[in-house]
Amino acid sequence: MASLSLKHIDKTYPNGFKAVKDFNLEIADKEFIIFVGPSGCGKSTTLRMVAGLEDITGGEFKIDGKLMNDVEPKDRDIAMVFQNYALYPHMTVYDNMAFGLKLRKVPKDQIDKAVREAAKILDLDQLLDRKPKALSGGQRQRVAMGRAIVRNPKVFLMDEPLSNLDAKLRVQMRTEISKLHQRLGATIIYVTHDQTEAMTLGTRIVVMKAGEVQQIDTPQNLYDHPCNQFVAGFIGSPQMNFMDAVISAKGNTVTATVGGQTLTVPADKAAALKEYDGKTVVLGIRPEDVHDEQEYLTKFADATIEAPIRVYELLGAEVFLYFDFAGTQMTARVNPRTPARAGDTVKFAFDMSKTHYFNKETEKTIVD
Amino acid sequence: MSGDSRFAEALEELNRVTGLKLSVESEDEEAAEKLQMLAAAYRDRFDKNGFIRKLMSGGVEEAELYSSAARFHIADRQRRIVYVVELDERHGEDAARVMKSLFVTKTGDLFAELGERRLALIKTVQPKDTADTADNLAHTIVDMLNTEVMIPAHVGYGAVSESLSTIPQACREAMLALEIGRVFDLSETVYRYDRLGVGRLVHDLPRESAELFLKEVFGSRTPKDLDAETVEIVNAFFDNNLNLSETARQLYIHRNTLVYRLEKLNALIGLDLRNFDDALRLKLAMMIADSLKAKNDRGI
Repeated sequence: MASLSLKHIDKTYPNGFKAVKDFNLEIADKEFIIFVGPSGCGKSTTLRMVAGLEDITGGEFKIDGKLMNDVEPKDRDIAMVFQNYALYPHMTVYDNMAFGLKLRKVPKDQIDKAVREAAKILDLDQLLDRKPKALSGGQRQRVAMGRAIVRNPKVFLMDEPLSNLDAKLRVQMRTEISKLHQRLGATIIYVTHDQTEAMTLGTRIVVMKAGEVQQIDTPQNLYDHPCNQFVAGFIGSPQMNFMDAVISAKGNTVTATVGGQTLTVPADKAAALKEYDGKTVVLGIRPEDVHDEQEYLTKFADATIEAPIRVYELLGAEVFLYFDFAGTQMTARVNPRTPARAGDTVKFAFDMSKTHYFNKETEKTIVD
Repeated sequence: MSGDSRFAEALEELNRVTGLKLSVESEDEEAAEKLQMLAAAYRDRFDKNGFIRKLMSGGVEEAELYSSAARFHIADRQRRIVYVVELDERHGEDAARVMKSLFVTKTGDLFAELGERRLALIKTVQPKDTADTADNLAHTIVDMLNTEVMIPAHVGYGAVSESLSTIPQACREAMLALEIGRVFDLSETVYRYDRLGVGRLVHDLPRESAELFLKEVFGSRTPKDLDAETVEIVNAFFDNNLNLSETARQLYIHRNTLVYRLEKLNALIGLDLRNFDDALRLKLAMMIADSLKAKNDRGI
């Protein structure tokens, strides 16, 4: 059992800088929690407070109901996998995984059992006698994971463990980590700046910015219902398109005027926007909801725009079209069979049922 | 200390340093003194760790340097970077074991324990190494001490040293990087000497000039007179490049409220942070205050 509780956690450095502000999170046993956000948002600092590598300035941190604020890292029953790892070059895989346990004076037979069990889980059991230079990149990464697994901790803490890997290996290791989570049934807290990693790995994601939690939710909910413009822009690749829109409410009809084009807001969103009559809000729409196909141009005839394509990118299964509209650079994710090319002036239809609206001052979501 | 106990200690030290079990007939003060001298001479001659420590502190005379280096098979002209590791607690032997096992991997790599909380790694630089290599190594040192030994660690390092005679300077740079970095870059764990920026300028200010500047900025007040909320606002304003709207949004206050608070601060210390020069003065003053506090805490 490993449930964690972080209540009103603050980190303030002696010079007054607040790295983490009022962080609250309850983590259930076996959850895979992701802390995600841009560089400097406080995600690693929060993880390090959980690890005991940074002091907690304020608030309470508990594991299984036991207060951990002043408990040494080695006594918290945790194991860590960090971005920059090194394997002992003169030791075998077995000894690399055993070294940490030897330092803690764990009996030999227990070390042997732990190492062999971990090696089996990681498919390293045939490689225990090898030295690091005889291993592939993926195998080395698994040995680094093995060092954490042998500790049999309540919680695994991972800080950007895949950041130093090439793209192909990163994708491969992402799958391995996911499988590991299921095999071990462990509670994991994982820090990353990569929203793709966050979306594919986590059961819940904590989005952070400037030391504060923006939203805690499942990947799907974060994607479909971001609580503010920052979360909407951070989650999803390519990024959501944002443009200023002037709202006009006449009776039950609400329109959003963008770059001179008047787009009708669907009824289910109109009610929330009525109070913004005459004001400017930010309209957000994801690239996959910007269409160039005829069926959508017909379906959303009152939400079409026209723009010249600046860049055409073929990715194989999809095409990204980049164009300017209403003073904004926009992206459309379209079918690879599109005839549109760079330089063409193309009609696009916005699926207005998928639009998001944000308060321009507070950046909070008005309706989505 | 009694003559007997001094003798016993000196003999124990000599036994430990030489690894030999010695027995001595005479147990008086003179004998104790000679045993201590023998132990010191043995250390100088045969203790590589002691030589490296002495080298890093600049305590090796030039004449002795090359003969000792030859005796310990340490090449003179070799490109090296000195990494000084500072641990937040007594490291015992574990941190040293991990560091030596992981990072002393090539002929020419050297390691020394500088005290209870400091370790030094002198790492040879390979022709293909870049600035990123050194930085990655420093971060790896921190991460491995965090994960294997489970202790916090900070690393400072400086420019490449071309020969043994420049190792003391390289060590000073690494230690300064740590000292200055830990005052001004509190959320970092790796500090590079040639990236200390304004922090180094502030650190090098003579105390008198620093205190005079603080008096200029704060008058009869001190930086401690700024309450926590004001400090938070000031830091957020600086972090957001003096942008009122962004700062207000980050602090969840109305823009007008932020303006009011900044005007209140202006009334207190005569600095309008919306003006770049005034913002710069306060920023520097806060850095100087932090630097002086750190020096006072260290008894400097």
